Formats: sequence, C-alpha cells, structure tokens
Amino acid sequence: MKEKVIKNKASKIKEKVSPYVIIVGAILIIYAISLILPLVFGFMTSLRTKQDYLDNGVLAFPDFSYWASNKEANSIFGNAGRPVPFPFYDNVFGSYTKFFATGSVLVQQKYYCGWNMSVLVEYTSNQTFLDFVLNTVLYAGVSSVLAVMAPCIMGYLCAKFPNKFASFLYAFVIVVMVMPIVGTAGALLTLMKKIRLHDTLFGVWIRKITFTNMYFLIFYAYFKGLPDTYSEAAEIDGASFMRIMWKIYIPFAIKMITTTLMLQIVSTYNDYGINKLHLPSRITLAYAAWDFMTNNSSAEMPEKLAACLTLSLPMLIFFIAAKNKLMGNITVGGLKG
Amino acid sequence: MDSISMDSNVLAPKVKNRYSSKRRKKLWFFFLMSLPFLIQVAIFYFYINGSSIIMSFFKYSYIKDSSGGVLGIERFWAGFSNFGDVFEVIFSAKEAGMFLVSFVMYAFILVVITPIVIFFSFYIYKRYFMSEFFRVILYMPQIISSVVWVALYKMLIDEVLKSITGAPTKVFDPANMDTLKLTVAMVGFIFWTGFGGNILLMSGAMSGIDESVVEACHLDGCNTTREFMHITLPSIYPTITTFIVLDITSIFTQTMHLFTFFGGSSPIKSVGYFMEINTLFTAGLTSVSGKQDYLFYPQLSAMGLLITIVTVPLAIGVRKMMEKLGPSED
Repeated sequence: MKEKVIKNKASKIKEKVSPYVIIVGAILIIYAISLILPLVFGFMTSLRTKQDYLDNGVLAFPDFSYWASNKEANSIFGNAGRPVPFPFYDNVFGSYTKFFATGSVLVQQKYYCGWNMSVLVEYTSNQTFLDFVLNTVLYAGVSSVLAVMAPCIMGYLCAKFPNKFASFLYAFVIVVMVMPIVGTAGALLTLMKKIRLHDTLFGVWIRKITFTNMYFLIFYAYFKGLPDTYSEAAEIDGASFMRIMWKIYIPFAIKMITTTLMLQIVSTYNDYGINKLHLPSRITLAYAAWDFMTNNSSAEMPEKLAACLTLSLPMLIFFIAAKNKLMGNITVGGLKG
Repeated sequence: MDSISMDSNVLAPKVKNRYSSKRRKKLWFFFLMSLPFLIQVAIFYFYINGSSIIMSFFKYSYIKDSSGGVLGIERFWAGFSNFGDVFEVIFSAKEAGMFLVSFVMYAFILVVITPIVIFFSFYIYKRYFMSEFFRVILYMPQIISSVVWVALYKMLIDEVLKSITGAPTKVFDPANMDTLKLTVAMVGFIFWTGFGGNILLMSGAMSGIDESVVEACHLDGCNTTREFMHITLPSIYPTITTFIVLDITSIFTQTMHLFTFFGGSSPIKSVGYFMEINTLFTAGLTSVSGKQDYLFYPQLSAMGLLITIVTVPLAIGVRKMMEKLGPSED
C-alpha cells in the first residue's frame, strides 16, 4: 500500500517536471514578460518629458533633472492664466496633464439624411477630454446593459415558455452566428440616415438590443437548467408571469448577468470603431486615444503613450478588482447538428 | 354509475378549458415580452440584409435643382453592373494583393496558431506550474484596448528594436514602407495579441471534460501524452471545429488591425480592411459631385454578397468534412 502511494506521488512529480511542462512553462514565462514589460516600459516612457525623450532616445529611464526644469506642463495652465494646481504632478505626469488639458478631437461631418436623403447635415465640433469621458460612460454603460438584458430576457422566455416559435428562435440564433452576411454596413447606414438616427446615441442603443449572439445561448442553457417548481409555486400563490420573471428567475441569474455585463463593458469601452462609422460626433476615450496616437504628428511618444495608458488604466483597475468574475466559466463549446 | 359518468362529463370540459386558457396566457406573455426584440431583429437583421441584397442590383443618383441643391435621391436598376465594378476594382493590379494577404493570415492562424493554442491550452487545463498566473496574464490582451497594444508594438518595433539593431529605417515609417517586413510585423502582432485569448477559450473547453474519464484513463496506465491524444483532443474536437469554422467566416472580414496601425492609408490591405476603408470614406449611396474615390454602398453590398456566397458554403462544407473526419461518439 505504501509502495503504491509512493509510486503515485513519484509519477505525479515526474508528470509535473516533464519536458513538456518545462518547455511550455518557459515559453509562457517569456510570453508573459513580453506582455508585462512593454506596459511597464510604456508607462515609464510616458513619464518622461518631450525634451528628455528627444535628447536621450527611447531606451532611457526618466531623467529627474528634466522634470525639475520642465516648463511645458506648467505652461498649459500658466499660459491660460490659471493657477498650476500641483507643480510636482504636472512635471511627473506632464504628458498626462497635456492630454487631459489639451487633448481634443475635431469632428467635421457632412452628409445627407432624411427619407429622401435631401436633408443636409453639416457641423464642426471640437471635443475635449470631458466629452470623451461622458461619451464613453453613455456609450459603454447603457449599451452594455442593453446588450446583456436583451439576450437574458429572450433566453428566459425561450427556455421557460417552450413552444414551436421559441425552438425556431433558438435555431435561428445559431444560424445567424455561424452564417455571416457580409457587406451590410451600407444598408445599415442608409437606413439610420433615412430615419434620422445616424450619429445618435439612441440609434446606437437600439442596435444593441439584440439577442442573436452567444449570450442568448448561455442564458437559455442556464434558465433551462433551473427547475420549474419555483414558477409553479409562485403561480399557486397568485404571482403574475412578469413578477415570476423579475422577482424569481432573473435574480437567480444575477451572477451570470454581472459577469456578462462586465465582459460587455470591457468590449464596448475598448471599442473605438463605433466612432468611425456610427457615432462620429460623440468621441469616446478609445477613439480619442487612437486619434492622438495616429494623427497627432506634433506629439512625441511619451504623450502618445500617456493618451493610450489613460485609456487602459480604468480597465486595468477593473480587471484587478473583478478578475475572478471576468475569467469565470463562460466558455465556447462546440456546436453539433 | 350513471351519475358518476355524468359527473365525469361535467368535469372534463372544465379541466380542458383551464389548461388551454393558461397556455394561451403563457403564449400571450411570451409574444408580448419578446415583441420589442423581435421587431429589432426584423428591422436590423431581416430588413437590413434584404435591403443590402436588393441594393447591390441598383445604382443611385441625386436629384438636383437648377442651382445644384439636392432635392432627393432616385435609384435605377443596374443588373449586375455593381458586381462588374467590384470585380474591376478588386482584381486590379493595385488591390489584388489583398486576397493574398487575407489567405496568408488565415493559413497562419490555421496552421500555426491553432495547433500551438491547443498544445499550450493543455498546460493551463492541467494546472501545471504558475498556470493561474498565466491565466491572468493571457487575459490581459482582451482587457486592454488594441489601441494601446498597437502603440506599444509600434514603439517596440520602430524605436526599441531600431535602437538595438541599428536598422536604417522604421518598419512603420510611412515614407519607407517595406511590404514584406510590414506583413511579417502584422502577423507577429496578431500572434502576440491573439494567442492568449484563444488559449483561455480552449482550456475552458478542456475543463468541461468529465474527470471520471480522465481518472479511468490514468487507472488504465496511460500517461499524459496518451491522455492528450486519446481523451483531451477527441473531447474538444467540436470546439476545435467551431474555431476553424469561425476562422473561415472571418477570412474576408479580418481587418488585421490595419486601421488601428495606419488609419486609412495602410500600404498592405486585407479584404476586410479594404471593405472597412471603403465603407468609412465612401460618399454613400452615390456622390453629389459625381466623383468616385471609393466604392459606393451598392457596390460594397455587391462585394459583401459575393463574399457571403463564397464563405457560407465553404464554412458548411468544412464543418461537414470535419465532422466526418473527427472521432465518433463511441
């Protein structure tokens, strides 16, 4: 008996230090370093002043002496006639201050809309940091809630009210997911312009109320697994279907709703593409960072990195706080049949 | 006896009505609650897709007054002329390379990335040394925006590597673009940022394997390699099939982050990027001035329809083939 236990332990140790584990582990360590090191290096570069970067090149640590003599950050406030709030902060985080204080995106739009496409819409607006933050909250926040609740409610309805149409909807969602129809952006933009919802938050929100995605399948499977005894007991007590849904079954799914909501928030927060096509007049933080990085020829790398890292910092904090939920058990399974 | 049978007849109709009334109420509730979502799908899936297909057979022109002001828009039947315009553009010397770029990218994902992902996912699934730490790190590219990774990658390749190697030009320098170096750099970026997320999905699928099957395998004396080949791979085969089929559907929609890197002026193009910049910069259904620098919406719809006609049977065919070649239920 003792020999068997020793043999089992030995084989487990042998498995854990096998060549496969050593090689793959080493590669994963290198990969992890390749992800962490650029972030750290990028952050340190973002703390350097523009002059420090130009004088000392890319492979240098921040030079403290440049911080002491940096007039640029202070001048953003000083030249505007406003008191410099935190001199030390403005020197160390000068690139960030510059992005907060002067980062802007010029939006120019000209297009025809209306049912006859005869109404000309033309405007120019300069969006600043506060606009970026507000637009991000409105877009990412509301869109995420709608994008999660739609498949949740439809998943519940199809799971708990089985009928032929519900079965059809389930099959339809799978077909939509595996059969992409390409090139519909033109038709979508034309429709949105015709009904005057192009370039509006409301137009973007309506498009998010869709259940033809993976989350519907996940919620459907979840609600299908919940027993009907709860609804039967509630019906006997006189509860309506609406009450049963909101007071009994949706609360059961609150953990899953929270997890999918977090995943959606991450996805919509990082989505800079929405501003390119569908919401050009409400610049989000993601688009502003991209624009600052790509189109700002006067900015050096520290300032560009500051804009990008400003975008990533809330997500990093969010991830550290909620990583267990974000990396939970939502997986992609195979589709059969 | 007669009174009992009479009572049964009195009882039975009431039970039947109550059942159908409840079922009707349930159906009413189902349809009323799902109505907003069904209307959304009717408009944004069926109407949009139908409209896109129809649009590809029409051309548009603005109706103008004598001073050049726009009064409206009219459409006229164009037959297959939009498809002809698309063929002319996409197979021109300037743009034909985008197919090669798209196929190279797909081949790289299928032949290189997918096997590596499966191989590495097994490490995470078996919870070997530091696997929990690696799970967190591998998830990071999904959390942080691609804008940030592009900025860091450009800095690494153009600034850091250039300082170390002393190379004369930058890879992403707009004035000195080497197409081959650029393609290699883009492939490297996709590997760098896409590798981790796929590993997590695959290891998630592996974690769904029944533990008792694995234990039985070990009791029968099989080692880790045999467990991987005979238990893990067959069990996750449906997930691998899903990955491959989804990759096929994205051959012509994959933009390779080219817009994030270069905006609208990338020197290399994939089919997805080509469609993206045309959709973004086009005048729309048609242009007021008559000038055409990019494909109009009807032509883009025609191109999308062609891509769909090619991709859908290909995806279905590949899925059927993989189901046939894969392990049986036994």
